[in-house]
Amino acid sequence: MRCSLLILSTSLDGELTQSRAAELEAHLVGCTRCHAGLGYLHEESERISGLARVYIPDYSVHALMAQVGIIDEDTRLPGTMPPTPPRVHPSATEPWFGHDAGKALPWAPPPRRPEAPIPEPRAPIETSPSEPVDDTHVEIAGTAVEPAQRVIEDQPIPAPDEAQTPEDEDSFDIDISQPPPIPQQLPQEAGPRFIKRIRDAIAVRWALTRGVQTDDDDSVEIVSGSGAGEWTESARQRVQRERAAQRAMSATSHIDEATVAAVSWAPPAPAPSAQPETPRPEMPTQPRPLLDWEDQPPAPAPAPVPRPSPPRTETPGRHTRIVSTGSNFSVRSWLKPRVRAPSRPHLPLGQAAATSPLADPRIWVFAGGAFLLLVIGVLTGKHTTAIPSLAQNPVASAHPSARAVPSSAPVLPPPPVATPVPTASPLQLTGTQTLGSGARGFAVTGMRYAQHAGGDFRMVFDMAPVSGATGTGLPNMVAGFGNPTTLYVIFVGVTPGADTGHLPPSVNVTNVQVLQPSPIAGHVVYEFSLSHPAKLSSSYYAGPRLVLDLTG
Amino acid sequence: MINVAAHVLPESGELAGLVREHLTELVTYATHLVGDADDALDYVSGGLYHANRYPPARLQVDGRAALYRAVTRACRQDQRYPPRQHGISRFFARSRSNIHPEIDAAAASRTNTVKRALATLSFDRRAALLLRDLVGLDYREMSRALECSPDAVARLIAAARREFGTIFREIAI
Repeated sequence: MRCSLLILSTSLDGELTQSRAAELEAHLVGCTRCHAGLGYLHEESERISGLARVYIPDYSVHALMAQVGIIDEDTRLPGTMPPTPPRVHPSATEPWFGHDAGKALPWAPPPRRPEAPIPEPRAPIETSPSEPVDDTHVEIAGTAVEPAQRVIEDQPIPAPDEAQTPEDEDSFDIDISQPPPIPQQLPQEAGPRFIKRIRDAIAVRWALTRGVQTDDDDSVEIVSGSGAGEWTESARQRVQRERAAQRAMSATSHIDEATVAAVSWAPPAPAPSAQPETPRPEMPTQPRPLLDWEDQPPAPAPAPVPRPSPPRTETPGRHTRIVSTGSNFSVRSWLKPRVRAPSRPHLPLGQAAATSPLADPRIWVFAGGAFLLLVIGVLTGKHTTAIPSLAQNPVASAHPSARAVPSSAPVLPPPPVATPVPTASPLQLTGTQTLGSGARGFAVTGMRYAQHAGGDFRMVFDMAPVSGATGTGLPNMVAGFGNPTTLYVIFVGVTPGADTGHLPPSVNVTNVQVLQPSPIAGHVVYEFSLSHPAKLSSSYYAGPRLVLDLTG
Repeated sequence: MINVAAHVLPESGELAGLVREHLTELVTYATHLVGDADDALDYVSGGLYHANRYPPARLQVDGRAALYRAVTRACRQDQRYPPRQHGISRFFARSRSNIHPEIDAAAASRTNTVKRALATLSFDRRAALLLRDLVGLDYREMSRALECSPDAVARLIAAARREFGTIFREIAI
């Protein structure tokens, strides 16, 4: 059997057959190289398996699956409790329930006016068995009542001990569950409220207007069959046709009041009694329908309702368009914001995801704003002129009055100045590399060097925090070449080490020294002399350790 | 003739149970495959969006390997769900509000060198290493997830381990 990484890796995963596994075991007895390689593979496998795990909470699992469409939003996850969102922002609740600003209101509404104290829940209603219950006197919540009944309703309800008469003692109780407690309102806020009320009224109406406009869903459109628009008509003609249809519907659904009076039925008025009527305790029953035909006398046969003929649907033409809709129709339709209904984004199957960026109207808003800024910048831009320097005409600059005096002497060009040869200096570096996070309080404890195959040379700065320093972060470091064969490494906030370590004989670096005194105040500068130009790469590692690699 | 695959939805309960069981490992796998948790959630959603349209037989035969195949394809082909906005509109994209992954911060900082070495591998080798050593799939399941033969999976893992070990020892001085 030959040494093979493929067989070792497959053996580590337990995918080898029994015969091959036996051969490998026999091979590993005598082959130390394969034995060590198997140990390396095992370590690398453990490193991968030790990567951090990501935990997804149940509510996130439910949200993700509902977003993808695997389950409905109301469906419970298999084997879990119903999803409960972790936190709800206070602004998500309706603004009229609290003092926080809602989505529609940019401010918090004022507290409500304190209402009359809510009485305690009444005792169970006791009714005499001999007296039949008159359902017609029971107030029905949410129904229209006569003005006289409304007056009775507004009267204060007597206390239970006052309403209960001695003859009610031998009556039976009706077990009726009590309604849930009503939350108490907060006290009224002092101060002027007129402006706030007007402001809230405007905000509520604006919010309601915007809410109504969300019904204008243009994502669903009937394109064929009944109700479909004509393809040849324009958008304006389509709106006119829809309005005409709405007017026809409203005219068709109109029923005169006489017909309504003939069909509707009202409960008979109670007989007048000489004794003052004791206010009855309100029976908390379920609301009943307004028209209960089974308990009521037979109503007279309704007269045939004359249905008006539907008006003729007008087809606005070219000249009747303005007359029928008004002269500012186009302006009103343009000012009306069109709200798109949220729809599930579509992901195409088998191809890369792509959406049309121009479909989003916000792009056009952004483009319009950018264009407006461009125009403003062009219009308000200023032309800049160079400031005359003192060196060119010192006399004219020092004495403005002498500017008009012509000079008879010709102006000679300045004599050429020889460009100095650049010298190696830490202040003029090329190919600089900057590392570190600005930490201070480190000291270079040692330096190591290694010559790699291929002419690469590695230098390692071992650093450690000095006594009293936190040792967090990395010190700032700048490395660069003063000339092609001189490398400078500059530290900030680092104390240099006692020595520069043992430099092995290499083909790259010939000398290492710490510049004393430092040419830059407060900095530590290391100078490396190179035998030939090389390429530098640097990086920080934990410790911290600075690693410099010279290649080439 | 245009061959159009039938739009057959698998049984929702079966897919939901499978996803519920393996979603944590799917997100962990995708996170280390692409290097970012938020991107991983988009890719996992994109993969599950496609898996929701797999025929029922595929889920019954492949099981979790079908999910890993869908997620791997989504990561390779940059299939996000919801789709990422292009152009200027990406600045107006809504942020994800109700999906919050939690990562073990201590383990994440401890394995920083491993992640750096892993990031230097190619996509296929990185996926093979993670599927085998992190998720624990066998070669047969990996062949279905990576859409290759089991022999190719064995060679892929061996080459990936050799490259990963070399780079890891080079980085960790």
